[in-house]
Amino acid sequence: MLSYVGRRLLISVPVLFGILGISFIFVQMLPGDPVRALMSPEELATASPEYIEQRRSELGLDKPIFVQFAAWIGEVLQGNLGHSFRRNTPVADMIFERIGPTAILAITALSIALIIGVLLGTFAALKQNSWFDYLSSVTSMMAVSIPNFFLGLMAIYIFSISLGIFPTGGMRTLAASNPSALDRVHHLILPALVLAINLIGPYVRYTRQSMLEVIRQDYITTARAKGVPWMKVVFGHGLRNALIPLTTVIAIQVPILLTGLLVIETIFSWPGLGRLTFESIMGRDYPVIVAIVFISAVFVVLFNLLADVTAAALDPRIRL
Amino acid sequence: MNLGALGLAPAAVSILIIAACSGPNDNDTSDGGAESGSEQTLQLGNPDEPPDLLPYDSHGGKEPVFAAILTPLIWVDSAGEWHSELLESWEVSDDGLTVTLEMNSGLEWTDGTAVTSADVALTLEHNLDPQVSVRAGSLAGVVGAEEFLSGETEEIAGLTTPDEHTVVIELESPSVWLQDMARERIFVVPEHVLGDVPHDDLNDHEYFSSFPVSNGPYKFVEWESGQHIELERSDQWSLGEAGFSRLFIKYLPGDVANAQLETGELHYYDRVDPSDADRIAEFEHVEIQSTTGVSQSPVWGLMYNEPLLDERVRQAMAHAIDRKGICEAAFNGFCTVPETNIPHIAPEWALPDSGITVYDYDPERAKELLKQADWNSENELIFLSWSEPGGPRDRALEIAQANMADVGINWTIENVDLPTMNERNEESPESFHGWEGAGGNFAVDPNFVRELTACDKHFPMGANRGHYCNEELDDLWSAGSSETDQEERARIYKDAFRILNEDVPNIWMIIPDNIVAHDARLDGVNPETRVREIGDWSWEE
Repeated sequence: MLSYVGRRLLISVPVLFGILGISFIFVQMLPGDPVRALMSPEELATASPEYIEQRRSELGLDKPIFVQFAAWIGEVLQGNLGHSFRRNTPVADMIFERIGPTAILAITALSIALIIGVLLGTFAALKQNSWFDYLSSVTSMMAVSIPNFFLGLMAIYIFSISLGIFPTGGMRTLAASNPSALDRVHHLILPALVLAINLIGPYVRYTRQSMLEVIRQDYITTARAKGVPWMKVVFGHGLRNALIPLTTVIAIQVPILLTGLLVIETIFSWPGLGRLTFESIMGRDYPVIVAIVFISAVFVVLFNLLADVTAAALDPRIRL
Repeated sequence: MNLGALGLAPAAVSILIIAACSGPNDNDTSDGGAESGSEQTLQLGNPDEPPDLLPYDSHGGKEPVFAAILTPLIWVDSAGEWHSELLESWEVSDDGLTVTLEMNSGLEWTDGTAVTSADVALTLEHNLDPQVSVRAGSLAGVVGAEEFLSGETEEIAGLTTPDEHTVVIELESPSVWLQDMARERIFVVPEHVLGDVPHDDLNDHEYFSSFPVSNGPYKFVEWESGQHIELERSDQWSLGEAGFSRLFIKYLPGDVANAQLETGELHYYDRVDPSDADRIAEFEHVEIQSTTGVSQSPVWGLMYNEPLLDERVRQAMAHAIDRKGICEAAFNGFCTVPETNIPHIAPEWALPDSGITVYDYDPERAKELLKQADWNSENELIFLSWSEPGGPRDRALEIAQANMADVGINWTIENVDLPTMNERNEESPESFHGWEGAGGNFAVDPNFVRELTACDKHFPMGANRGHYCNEELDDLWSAGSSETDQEERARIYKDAFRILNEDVPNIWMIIPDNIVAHDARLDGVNPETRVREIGDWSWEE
């Protein structure tokens, strides 16, 4: 197992560097000058050409693209991810600042989606063709189909404005000098739920399909014939095996999760990587955009590896 | 593997992280509002989080921060009134070559050091350097500035401080330097902290990330990136007592700001979409105030080349657009219509009241003008728009597009973002015929219009995106800016505006009002000055 993981990680290195190179080139191809992107129309009216040239020179934008790429790769190899054009701070610091809130939101949303998705999928399989099965299928289809920006705005309208149950955004109550953990959880629930809803659909469908196959297997019939309690058969034998394909689905959904974060963090004023991505694209902050693409790629690679390892742990028949 | 762990373990990790990030339980979890005593908190909203807190540009997200922690040298409100807490007087000599700033006494930095002319001189020195400040172009023309910036001299000869309360600026030629400075809203920085810092090191100086010394009603506390900037009352403010113990400037999109106004999580927002104003006014505890704005938005910019060179075509466009209808439909009536197609919020003394055409909505007149100009209705024109889809500017442009199609002028609107439009404007100006313009403060001095129309200000050397050029007009701008006799100056600018009225280089569509939404209990809010007098705000008694 360890040698497999090591081999996969080694293969990932050229893949990630390839992604770095491609994203650097694509980001440079974005139309628009980063210096002017930072300026208001009024500033553009009065800014001297010297100021713009000076800023371009400070950011290294006056150099050929391959020189910029070489300088940037040099920084990456030293553990830096370059300097932000907009904030004039190390990109690594900016990412470090934002990755915590994103991780909290993503992990919570993923957990909610998994728990609800697996439970709904399991019971839908056990009650195949019942009203519950149809209802869960329709609901999960709707959850996938509704755009998350719409869902987010509706959630704010219903739960924050009309019912006043949850705050509209942010990570904590500002008037409290030391907000409690409960206050932070209170702020987390609504964005995490909205993000989770978009993820639930595939979990329900895959769990149901997988569970339907598993409960028809001979070992399930044998376990039942031997008098093992039904719930133990379902959760102890059936679900364990049904979840193996789900680990792959979770890994495949990581990019969807990252895209969802971009929207949800903006709507709920959640100070994470998604919002930083949006701001960086609008401000043509090339180093930050490339760094976020790189980190997203690392996550996708790691989650795929984790999915394979988890599948092997769940099913001893799988040999890595 | 325990199946429960699959879902529950990550959730538990999340909760643990949250708990670890939290301080001890605080019973005060209210979201501000009119609390009693010193525990008063004010929360402002702004859609644009600034990239940094350097006071050398005019980023909209910085304005409330600097208004709270620093003091501007001088500023002009949307009604054209000049204000300054720092200056007792500001004068230009009869020959127009010397500007003298006399400072009020008594203003101090938070460390007890007096705010003096040395602070003002250093601030101006920074802003005269094009490598530091975006405003250097506007403030050019000070004697000795070029020599100082090139390293030939150690001081700017034309920037002197005869005593602690006086700053004298000598100009190379008579100009509207003082007006340009007032329009730029320059915040004064402490000389005793930054005086020895080379200009090259200013961008990275730690002063601008923590502001340990300030002179406004509030002090800087922290910036939580992606969320807010927190400030607290400064007990050392020498001009009075700030109304709130804590102040948060929250960076959030418009829809969220509206929601937070409704729930009471936000107390002030001054970027209200006109179409939301009536709905916001119905919120139980929110008040809406508005006043005439200072800038045009949107402007239907025109490229000064074929097939738009004939002025009758451009005049036809001005007649074809139903600007009053657009004001009602897209801006909910919160706007002014410049029917003479000149920036008529320029100071009144500079505006002509005779010999100008009123471009009222008249499709028949538009068709007649197009016929005279042999307009080919098969022409397909491209307009670059960077408006937020569905926003008031976007709606205004769509109506204008339909209006012009009705008279036989066919525009296709291409939606791009501002950086893309800038790039196309610079690299392939022939690839489009119109562009969306916005902004500009016309209330201070009419000379600002020069930046948008002069022959030597073609983008990217200036903001003349349409590459319009009229040498007679340029001569008038030059004469007006250097004329010291006010009556003669007024006459020159009136002539300049008559040319603009006839030439129609761009179509000035709408001047949107400043709309401010705030908690009804908030005292001192004025839409003319917006956050600029934030030190005077408090909860109503």
